[in-house]
Amino acid sequence: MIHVVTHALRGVYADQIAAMHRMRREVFIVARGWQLEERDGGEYDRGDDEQAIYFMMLDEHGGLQVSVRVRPVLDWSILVDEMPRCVEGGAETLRRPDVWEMARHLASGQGRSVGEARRRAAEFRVAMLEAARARGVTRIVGSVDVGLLAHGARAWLDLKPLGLPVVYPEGGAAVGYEIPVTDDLITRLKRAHGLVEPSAFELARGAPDMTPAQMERAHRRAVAPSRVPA
Amino acid sequence: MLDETTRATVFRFLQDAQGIESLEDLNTRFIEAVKALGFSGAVYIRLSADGRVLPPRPVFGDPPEGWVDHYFAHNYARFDTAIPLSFQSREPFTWSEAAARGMERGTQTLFGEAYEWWRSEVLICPVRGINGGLSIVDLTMDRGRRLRDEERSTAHALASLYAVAGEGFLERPEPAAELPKPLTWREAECVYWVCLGKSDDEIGRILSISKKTANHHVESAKTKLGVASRASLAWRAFALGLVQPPVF
Repeated sequence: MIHVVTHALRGVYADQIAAMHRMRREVFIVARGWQLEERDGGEYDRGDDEQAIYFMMLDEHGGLQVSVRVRPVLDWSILVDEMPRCVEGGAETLRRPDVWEMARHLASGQGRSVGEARRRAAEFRVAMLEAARARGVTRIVGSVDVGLLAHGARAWLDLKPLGLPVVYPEGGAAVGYEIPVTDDLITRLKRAHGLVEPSAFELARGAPDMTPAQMERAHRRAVAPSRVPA
Repeated sequence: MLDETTRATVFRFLQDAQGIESLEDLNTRFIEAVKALGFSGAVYIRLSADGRVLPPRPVFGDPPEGWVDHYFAHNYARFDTAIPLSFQSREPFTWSEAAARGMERGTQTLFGEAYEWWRSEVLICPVRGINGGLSIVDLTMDRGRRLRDEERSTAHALASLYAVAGEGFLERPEPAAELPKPLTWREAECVYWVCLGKSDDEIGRILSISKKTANHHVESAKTKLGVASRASLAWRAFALGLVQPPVF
C-alpha cells in the first residue's frame, strides 16, 4: 500500500511530511550538496505547494520509508523552469495539465530482504502510475543524474530521455526523461513483480479517523494472503 | 557545445535504444553514436549481476586479440583499480585516472601493458542496474585527448541505455539467494544511511535513536550480509538490491 497524500490529507500525514522534509534535507542538501532552501530543519522548494501530491511508503508504525513528490507541470516545474536545456526541442511543450513532474525521491529502508525490496520498489512505481492514470495524467517527467539513468530505464521499463545530458554547475549532469502513463505499462510492471492488488491508497473523505500507522496495520492484515506469490 | 549533427545522432540513439530489435543493430547504432562523439570503439563488461560479483570478461565488443587471456593469465583483476572505482563512482573515468589511484607496481604494469595492447585511452562508464547489477562500457579514444564534461556525460548516457538494451538480449544470471536472516526495518534504514556515508552519530540523530543503538543495527546488518566494513556493507546492500539509489 502506497499512501497518496494530497493537500487535503496533509493534516493526517503531518508527522510523515515533516519527516520527509527532514530526510530531504539530509539527502539533497547535506549528502549531495545542492543549494536548496532550508527551513525548520527540512528542505523545501516552491513545488511544495497545495498542488503537490506526495507518495509515501510507510512501515507498520507509520515511519516514512520512501517518498516522492509529483506536481502538475503547468505553472512551474524544476525541469521546465529551472532546467529547460534538458529537453531537446523546447521544454515549453511539456507545460500541459496532463503532465506531472516527479522530484525529490527518497528511499530509506524499503525492504529487509532481497525479494521484498524489489517488490516494494515496484509497488511504489505502480502506485504512482495508478494515481496518475486516475487523474488523467498521460506523462510523468523529471530529471535524473546520468549515473542513474540505466537504473531508471530498467525500473520504469518505458522511460525515455527527453534530451542530452546537461552538466550541473556544481558538477555531475542530469538527463530529462518522460514515462508514458498507460494501462499497458501498469500491467507489465504488476505482472513482472507479482503485484495483484491496487498499490495506490488515498484516504477517502469521511473515512473513519485512523492514523497512518493504523491504516498500515489494517491493510497488512487485510491483504496478507494476496502477497504470497502464485 | 556539441554540434547539431552529433547532437541529433546521439539523441536518436537515446530515444530508440530500448526499441532496437536485434543485438547486431544495437551494436551498430551504438558504435555510430559514440563515433560521432569521437570515440573509436566500445567493449561491454559485466562486473556484478543479481548479487553476484562476476569476473570482468567482455560480453560485447572486441578488445585487442589475446588481451583477455593475457589479463586473466596474470590475474590482473587484483591490481585493476578500475574495478573498485567502477563500484564507487557514479561518473565515468579514464584508465589514466584509475591508474593514478594504484600505488602497487602491479597496477602500473597492468595499465602500462593495457596502453600498449589497446593503443588507446579508455573512458570507463559505470552502469548501474535495478537489481544491484553493475556493468561498465569501455569507450576507446586517442591517448592524450581531454574530454569536456559535456562529452563525458553524453558518453555516459549513451553507454547507460546501450547497457540496458543490450542486457535485454542476454540470458539472465541466476538470481541471488535470499538472506538467511532478513534485516529488520531499523537495520534496513541504518544501511541506507550508511550508503550515504553517515556515521553512527548522524544516523542516530536522523532516526531519533542513540548512537549506540545505531551502531548495534549497523553491526547486526554487517553480520547478516556477511561483510566486515561499512563500505562493504554499502556495496553488498546495493548489489543485493536492498538499497535503491534515490533516483528521481
